[in-house]
Amino acid sequence: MKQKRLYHNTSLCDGCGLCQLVCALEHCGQWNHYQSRIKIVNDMEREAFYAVCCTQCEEAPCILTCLMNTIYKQPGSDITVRDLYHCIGCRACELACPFDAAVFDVIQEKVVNCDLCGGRPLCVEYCPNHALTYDYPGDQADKKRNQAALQRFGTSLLEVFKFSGKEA
Amino acid sequence: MFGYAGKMLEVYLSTQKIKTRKLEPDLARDYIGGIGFNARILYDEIPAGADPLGPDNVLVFSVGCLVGTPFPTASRMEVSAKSPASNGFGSSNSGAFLGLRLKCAGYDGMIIKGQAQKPVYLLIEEDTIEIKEASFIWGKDAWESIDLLRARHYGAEIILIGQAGENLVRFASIENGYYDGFGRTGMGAVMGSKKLKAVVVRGSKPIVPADPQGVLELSAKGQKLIKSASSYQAFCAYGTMNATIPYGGFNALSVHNYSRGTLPDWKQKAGRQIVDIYGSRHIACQSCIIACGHLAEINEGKYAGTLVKDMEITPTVSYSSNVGLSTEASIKSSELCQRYGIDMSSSGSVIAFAMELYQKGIINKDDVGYELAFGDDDAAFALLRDISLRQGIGDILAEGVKRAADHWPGADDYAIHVKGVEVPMIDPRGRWSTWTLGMLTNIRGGDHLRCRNPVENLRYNENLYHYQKERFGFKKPMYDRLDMPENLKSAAIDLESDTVDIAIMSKWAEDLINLYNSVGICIRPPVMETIGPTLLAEIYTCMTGIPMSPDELMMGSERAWNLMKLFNIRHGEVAGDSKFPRRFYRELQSGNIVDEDKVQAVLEQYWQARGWDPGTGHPLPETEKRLGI
Amino acid sequence: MRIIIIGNGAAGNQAAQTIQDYDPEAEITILGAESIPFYSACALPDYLAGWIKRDQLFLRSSLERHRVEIRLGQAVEDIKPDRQAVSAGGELLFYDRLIIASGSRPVLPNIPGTGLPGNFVIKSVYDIDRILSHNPRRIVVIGSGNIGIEAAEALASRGCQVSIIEMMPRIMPRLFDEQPAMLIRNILEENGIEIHTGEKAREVIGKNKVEGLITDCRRISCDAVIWAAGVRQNTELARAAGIEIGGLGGIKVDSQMKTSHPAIYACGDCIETSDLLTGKPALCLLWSCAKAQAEVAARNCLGEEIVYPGALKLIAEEAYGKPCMAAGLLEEELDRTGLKIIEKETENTYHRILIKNERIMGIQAVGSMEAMGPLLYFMKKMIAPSEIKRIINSPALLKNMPWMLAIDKYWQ
Repeated sequence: MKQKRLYHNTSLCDGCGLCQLVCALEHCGQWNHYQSRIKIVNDMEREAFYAVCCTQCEEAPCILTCLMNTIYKQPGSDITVRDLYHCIGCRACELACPFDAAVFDVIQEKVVNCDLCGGRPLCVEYCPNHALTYDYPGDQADKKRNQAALQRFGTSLLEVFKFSGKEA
Repeated sequence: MFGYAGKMLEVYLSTQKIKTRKLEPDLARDYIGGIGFNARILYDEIPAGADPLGPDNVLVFSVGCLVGTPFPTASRMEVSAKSPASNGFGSSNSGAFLGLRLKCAGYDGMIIKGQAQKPVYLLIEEDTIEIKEASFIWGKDAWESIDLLRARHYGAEIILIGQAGENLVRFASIENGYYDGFGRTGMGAVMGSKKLKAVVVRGSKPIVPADPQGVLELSAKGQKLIKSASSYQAFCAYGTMNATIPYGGFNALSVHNYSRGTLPDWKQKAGRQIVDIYGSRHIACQSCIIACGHLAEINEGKYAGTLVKDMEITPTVSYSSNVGLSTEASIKSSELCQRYGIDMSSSGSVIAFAMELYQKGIINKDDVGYELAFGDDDAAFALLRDISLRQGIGDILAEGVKRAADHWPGADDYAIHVKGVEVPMIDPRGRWSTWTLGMLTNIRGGDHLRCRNPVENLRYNENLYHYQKERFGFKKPMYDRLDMPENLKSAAIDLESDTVDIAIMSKWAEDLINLYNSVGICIRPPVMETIGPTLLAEIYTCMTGIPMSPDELMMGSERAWNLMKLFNIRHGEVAGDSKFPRRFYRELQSGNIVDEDKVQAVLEQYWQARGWDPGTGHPLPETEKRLGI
Repeated sequence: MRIIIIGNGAAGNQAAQTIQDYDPEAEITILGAESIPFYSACALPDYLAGWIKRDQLFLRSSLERHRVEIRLGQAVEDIKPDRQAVSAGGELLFYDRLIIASGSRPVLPNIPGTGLPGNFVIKSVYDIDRILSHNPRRIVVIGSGNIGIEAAEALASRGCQVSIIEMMPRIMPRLFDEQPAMLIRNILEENGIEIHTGEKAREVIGKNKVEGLITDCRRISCDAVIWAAGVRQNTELARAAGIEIGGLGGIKVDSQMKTSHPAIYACGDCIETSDLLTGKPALCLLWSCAKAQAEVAARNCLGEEIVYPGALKLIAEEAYGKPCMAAGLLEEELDRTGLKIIEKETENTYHRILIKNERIMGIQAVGSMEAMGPLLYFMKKMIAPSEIKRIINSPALLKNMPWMLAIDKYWQ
């Protein structure tokens, strides 16, 4: 079953951080750097902004690492979700994530990840430049990236972020 | 307390004590945030006659109250102190990411008092607040210091001064990260006089709005409004560079220390197409949907390897036209100014001033040590270095044009300043508008950023009815959507004659910009055109839970403006200070001079509109009473 | 296929879960010795501190009740490999495949006084309940592994006065090298935990209950002693059934988690496996290893041929809000010739990367765990430095991370 995914286009991103703000406000009703499930990283050397966000790995290493079995694939879809009630904030999944996409929420003292806002990602709605999009995966670049990720990190992804700006 | 962090940090550098001050709900409601807080604190805590570079001066940083919301452009922060340039209210605004970080560290602002004995920097990291020894970065330029500090404090936001601030150059700036800064009125010198090299901030406390869903919805509404502005697309692409060509066409540029109004090759040199040539990508401040800043890169030639966030009208006009440098040299000048930590507008004016003195034979090679000529980038950069390090003639020029002119007889005619602050960019002889009147009425001296007609029309350049009006020139829908009380709108804009009343519009524009600086949003034209007190009052209420009407909000802004005026009066400002440099009144430029009497008449109209004494320009008692000061 | 799983811990449950996912037809029986449902032992210190409630210990499980039978409180009496059966509760249960996940238990040293009331271990929920009902004020924790440190912090946060006794010259000797261990020690001591290293407990004293502890160097009066200094694998059942036991004391398994007996697999704390980085036999008593091993064992049970790459030590901790992590090997576990150590210290962070034969062999960090994930995977996948450099410099996947500054310099 094909699922819609979050895509980020570096060549359109200005690094305004609106996606982070709305993400935290939507999920927590307050704002804090560490509560946003999406991170925009400013890489001055390469003159680009990158989005770091849960890639919804097929065989997610965080699921195996969790000490409390709080992470699982949502039944009927392949989105990685968490049962925060049991999370003790040990941050092992943060460590296990090869994409640095698990976010330690310092207020709740729990680790969270992107849940795609139940199919209506707010970051996409608020992105002023349409750098973030929510769409069906499909093209060749995705497959290539998937293979690269599998080779490098041993976890295959449904979709990794697609960067149409500067290709690896 | 919703929306606000709820407290301010109070640092006593002389005694190395640190306190926190609770944010009083009354202060929050009456003065909104940002510059409003600064106005109140400075007015209350700086004694009359205090030396701006002495221990009595108070340096206040305040974050706008909407910072932390996804409201477009809500990122700004205001720094104020008694200005060493104007001896009045000094204030400067900057965006980028520091405001949010400071708020996340749990503070709406920092109040810095006293003077440290040795160089120090202030570390705000979660709950630890420390005054730390800074000799390892003292004397180093801003970029180097940032690298050294980042290596110690991973992931922190940093504001700091460069060598210019350390050497108390009267127009030194406070740099905000690599590329942004609090430029005007010499705030860097105040920070330098306190021997405070840097403030390093990292925090992870939440900012809690009263009504998160409301904030989200209103932010989306704000985004939609700004995107519908007529100037939005152009601003996204070229930022403030859009205005360089019109001003060149109006003969309103500050060319070679205001001796001319435009340059023949201006279009090629500084037209917005240079953004396409040198700009590599857009860089936004926190929450900004416009992203007017561009990363500019020079790949070949003398300045190959330069990489700065540039392509703004201010440095371009300051260095390309005032000093007369080539485009690439002007981009390089941004880097140098950022490294030295010096105001780009004022430093360009001071260099142009010295160059003209040299041209006129008032100073010579013996005084300077090298030859000076407009357009000579090596000489300009050597002088910039000398000023920043206070070497040779730079020591005199570092005092700013007003004070430096006293050293040489006859130099006074070439000193272009209002109240001691160098006038940037725009020449009132070439174009008369709300904006140019704003340079006289500006609380911080000769400056162009605190008064700008929200519906300024750059297609027309007419001096109507003896300096009293400017052309409106837009169609009715623009009039209709302008967020302004109806009675005021009809008084300010006359659709029949298609004119804008400059005096009334100046007051509105100043209050509006002051409101922007209080809530922490940006004054870029697409925002000014579309966002008014109605939407801001709604989002203020959602953010803080404090009921607020648009009128109250504007009154809060006006209250702060009046308080700043009172501050200036207490510190010695008189009505006669509100005048342009002599050159504008006497020397023809493209066939024009500014008519002193007629400008005075408009100024008096403005004072009247403000409820100030038309003779002295002092706020009248009833105005103070109405505003509850 | 009938599959019996001995042990209702992380490994046992993960094995059942995997089998259920891969073969919907299999009949699964889990036999648990404790009569409480599946819970996480890793969260016990958090429960001890009161940071989480008791019911948060018990984990969600998506095992389907009608296909997976869970028998709690039924200790297995013995395994009869020749009949492919186990006896439990007087009943003989037959299996096609058996998975042993019997776990481990803490051991108390053979010194006087360990039988007195007030001696505790931290292994099960009941242990914590006992400590809480004992309500100690002055506690000595013996051993400074991660359980010891976490227990100490937990008890200190309850207002107890806590001392840690460690036999080795530094704390967390199996997890951290000297310098990071020192940093962590400083954090703990700043927060009022007393630490004595290089000392061995000699005797627990007291009349009817614990009143003090005597070590090589001192006498500490206390009302409780927590033993967190060693575990032993639960191999008695396997040993009695004639299954081979390895040199380190765990059930010997091959890379497919198969024991010396066909049709019997083992996984979790009770086994002895090989180290991912060195290939030498190793015990790895970690939750994440147990789950990975269980998955391998379960899938091999079902006829797949999956190979377990080896165990990798991976610890993530928080000492008074400061994140600490360690993965891979320590300096002393590696041959010093050709060993390169990259260190990067800032005011609030410390990173240490051990490199040998151009491979990352160990990572330790104090103060920031930010973005260590990719580095961990470089180590796991044994990626060559040239490739790492390429990945670091490729814009697609990584960003500037604290450790990168250090590593970049090294390979440039």
